[in-house]
Amino acid sequence: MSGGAGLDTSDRAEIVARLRALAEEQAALRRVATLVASGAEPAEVFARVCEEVGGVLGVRSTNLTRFEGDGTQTVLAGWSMPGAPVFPVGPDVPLEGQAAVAKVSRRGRPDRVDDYSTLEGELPERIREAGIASSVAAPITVSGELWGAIVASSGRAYSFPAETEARVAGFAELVADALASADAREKLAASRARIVEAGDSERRRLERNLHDGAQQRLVTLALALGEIENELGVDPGSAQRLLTTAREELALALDELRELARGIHPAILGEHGLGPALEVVIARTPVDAQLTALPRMRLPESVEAAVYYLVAEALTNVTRHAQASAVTVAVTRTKDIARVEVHDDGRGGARVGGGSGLRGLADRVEALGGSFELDSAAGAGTTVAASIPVETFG
Amino acid sequence: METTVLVVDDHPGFRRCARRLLEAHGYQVVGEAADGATALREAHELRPRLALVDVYLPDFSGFEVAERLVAIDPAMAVVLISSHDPAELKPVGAATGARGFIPKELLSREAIEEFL
Repeated sequence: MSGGAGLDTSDRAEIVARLRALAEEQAALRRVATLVASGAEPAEVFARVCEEVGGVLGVRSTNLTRFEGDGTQTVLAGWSMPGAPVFPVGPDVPLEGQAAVAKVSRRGRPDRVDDYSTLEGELPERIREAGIASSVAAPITVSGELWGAIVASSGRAYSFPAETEARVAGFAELVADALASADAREKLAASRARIVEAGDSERRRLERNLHDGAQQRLVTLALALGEIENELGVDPGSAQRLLTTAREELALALDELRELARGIHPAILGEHGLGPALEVVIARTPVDAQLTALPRMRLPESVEAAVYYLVAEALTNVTRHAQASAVTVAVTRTKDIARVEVHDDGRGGARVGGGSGLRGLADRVEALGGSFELDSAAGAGTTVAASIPVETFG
Repeated sequence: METTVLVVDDHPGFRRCARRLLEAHGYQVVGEAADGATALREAHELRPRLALVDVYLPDFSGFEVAERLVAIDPAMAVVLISSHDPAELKPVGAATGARGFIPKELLSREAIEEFL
């Protein structure tokens, strides 16, 4: 076989170089895949991807970032050669303006910034603070959805050749599935940890409320009863006054216990179902609220509880933050899915993780195998929704 | 001579009730404090014979306050009080120099005299 017949030396050298680069990429990909298959911690996988991208592309620093769907990104990992600048890892990084990664998040295709010195906005400012002068970013797409980006950076302006976009994009495509798998595991672990923490925190809150409320009133009541016992034979008038006080303390203790019990699990939900329970929550909401749809049949207990708490939390948020004039609540059911939607006409701008309690709701819904949605563009109202699978039998 | 008492508890309802009960039994309540810092200041000024100290206070723990009260005046009878389970608190209280522990709902002359 003649093999390279017709190729001159420079062609042959180029083909060899390309093959070598391809082999390096394949080896890097294999290392990432092996790491994922070994059940390595997601943080370790993300860090390795950054390192491999850096090695394969010969760049000085790389980041891996996930788009959160609320106008922010979480920078999951970073790698750099000694002394090279790299963007710090962390959540709640804005995705605005003309930074390379922000353009990728909007357009879904590779992009670059050759000189950050003239760009305005918080993200370019933070990129400059990290010592980065230029970068190339490429999207990571998982199951047809834009998941995040790989970003190659440099401390010097105009330091990336023309083909960098294609090479970063190529590697991003290769690692997408491995990343998605590691990311799903990380999200699951984080969600479980938050559920446990939320449970612990709720128990601490209940203990404090019981101790400071009903328990103190009952202690006072016990002491008052002792006094009454002593006063009965000596000063019946005083005993009578103490009895009145004792009855008032007891009534307050009962009120506080009822309030606490309602917060733990509303009895009306278990006994009478979602309709009456939601009507009570809606009646307590100062904003004009309407229940527009409700399934005819009861839903499983865990689904009813999730729907109830989602509506209660969403209405609390509407009251506190939305500046809305009206809100609708709709609960519907198809054969396999229960869906709840709470929509208000307020100012929008809500986000998961902004101290709104929405993160806990999302965790509760996801723990039931459901999906949580938040649509809250500024000025366009807010819709909090969830779809939760309903097991059917027979 | 009446036994002078300082009541340290952040719940005003309990302080009011305890004062009535103590005064009905011949004690003289010379001071009330809703937190640890006030308790230490008042103990310094008033030198009560007895201090009833709630285990949970908003600033310091009652155990810490008890220890510091005993340091101010070793003759002061410091008795911890709480509405929490006494079984959980007694062992910790013993290490503070407090004379003992009384569950709040069982506060009575008999319970107090045991520690004077």
